[in-house]
Amino acid sequence: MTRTGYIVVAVVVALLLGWQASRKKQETSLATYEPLPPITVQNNAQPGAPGNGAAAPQPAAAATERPAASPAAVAGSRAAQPAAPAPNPAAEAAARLAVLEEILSSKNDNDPRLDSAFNDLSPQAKRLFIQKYRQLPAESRNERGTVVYLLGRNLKTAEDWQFMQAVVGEPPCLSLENCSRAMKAEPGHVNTGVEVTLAYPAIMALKRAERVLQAGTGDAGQALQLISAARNSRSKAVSSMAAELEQQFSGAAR
Amino acid sequence: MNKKTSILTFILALTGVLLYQADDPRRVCADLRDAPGEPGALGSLQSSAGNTVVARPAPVSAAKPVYTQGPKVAPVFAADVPANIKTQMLQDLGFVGTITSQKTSALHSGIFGRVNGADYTTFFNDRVKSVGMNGCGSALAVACVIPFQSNTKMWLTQNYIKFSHPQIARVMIVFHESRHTESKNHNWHHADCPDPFQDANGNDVHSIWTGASLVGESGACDITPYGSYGSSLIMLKNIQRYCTNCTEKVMMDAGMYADDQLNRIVDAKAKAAIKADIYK
Repeated sequence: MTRTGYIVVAVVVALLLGWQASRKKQETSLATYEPLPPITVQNNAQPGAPGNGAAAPQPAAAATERPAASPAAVAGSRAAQPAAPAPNPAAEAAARLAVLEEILSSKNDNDPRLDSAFNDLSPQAKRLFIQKYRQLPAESRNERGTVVYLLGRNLKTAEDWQFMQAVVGEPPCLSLENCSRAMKAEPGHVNTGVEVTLAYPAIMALKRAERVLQAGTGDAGQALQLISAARNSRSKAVSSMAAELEQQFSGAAR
Repeated sequence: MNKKTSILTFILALTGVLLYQADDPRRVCADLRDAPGEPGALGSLQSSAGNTVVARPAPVSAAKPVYTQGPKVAPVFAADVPANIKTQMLQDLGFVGTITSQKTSALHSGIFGRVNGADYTTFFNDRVKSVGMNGCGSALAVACVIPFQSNTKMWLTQNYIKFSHPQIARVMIVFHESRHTESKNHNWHHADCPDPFQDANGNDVHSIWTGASLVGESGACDITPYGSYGSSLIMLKNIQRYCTNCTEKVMMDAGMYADDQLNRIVDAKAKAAIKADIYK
């Protein structure tokens, strides 16, 4: 082989080495794209369906593998999640509250952190969430309901249930504009869904009690007490739903 | 170097170059785009910036977002639409544009297509070409269509952002109204709720969650699964049951608002058809 031949062979070898190196680099870079772990990795998706008990085929998968809802949400999610578990309970609780506030202000109910970032809330975090609930204007129905929803996923103590009882015992919100003042009823379909939204936080609490009873886990006695308390609500939406649940679960152990 | 060695070297060099190109990282992204003829198969998200995020398939990374160009949200917003209302509506439509599922009920399939963001976006964009501001004749209204003015325009009120509805409820409202643009279907006019309006037990029918009486309410009921109440409840119920990338909250909300709408379907056959389709 001539001198030129050796040069050509050397070029070929270099190309092959380059190709292998690029493969290796790509694999490494893909590994760095792995998402940051959520604040709590634990998946507490519960059996049964969301809503009124109809079958949902994939609650666990949906909770753990759903894609991000928006680029902003992804960016926010990464920014809000600490790289390592916070050793300080107060700091950890504050971090969770910060994520909650970010989600509430985004008005994005499909933020995947709602399923992953609020599992296993500490007592400190729960206290901050309850404080947040009380700070929210009564008219912030979705925001208040979201706080109830998240606390409802973390029902462990009697105090947790007491908060739920307080929610179903609230005076009815009379209008979405001003909870303390009723708006004139109007015919037609303009009030579509309004009644549900007016009662939304209490409905969320009742839905959680329903879930506890359906799953047969957790404190069935507390769930039944909550339903019983809701029967006395001055909100027709809440009392009629409670009556329906009471009928449905009348045989459940107290 | 003899002729034989030259040819061998050339082939080796060519092979090296081809192998290198075959491993071009761009291919990874190309794989993530929707397959031809199946728009939105991976699900897509329209952000206000016009970018789209799609889920990256396993095993590379189940949650890694990849930004590509996706379908546009078509409606043109009138100049009088405040920026915060426009942003909220785009965000809501963007959320709907991300929805993915593995199943779809038959009625849903006939009305919207799949329980899928691309199909919802197409449905909405085919009907609503522009968005403006209007009082809609009611202090409670969030949105409306005014057929004698336009069959392609949706009007929003300040309540779109003032009222604190869950996101899926806003989506329900705008899809409900989008159905009213269909002039070929007489805009799916509502029916009056009957009076008396009683259930099988002889009791007055009330909204399922609220207890609010629907007896004799004017234009507050439907007699078909395909009208505004029926179609939007079928959409929400499908989202509750089949959405694979919705949060548990969205799915719960979808079920609650869908169930509330069911009693607005006052024709027994229409109601039975919906129940058989998605409540079984």
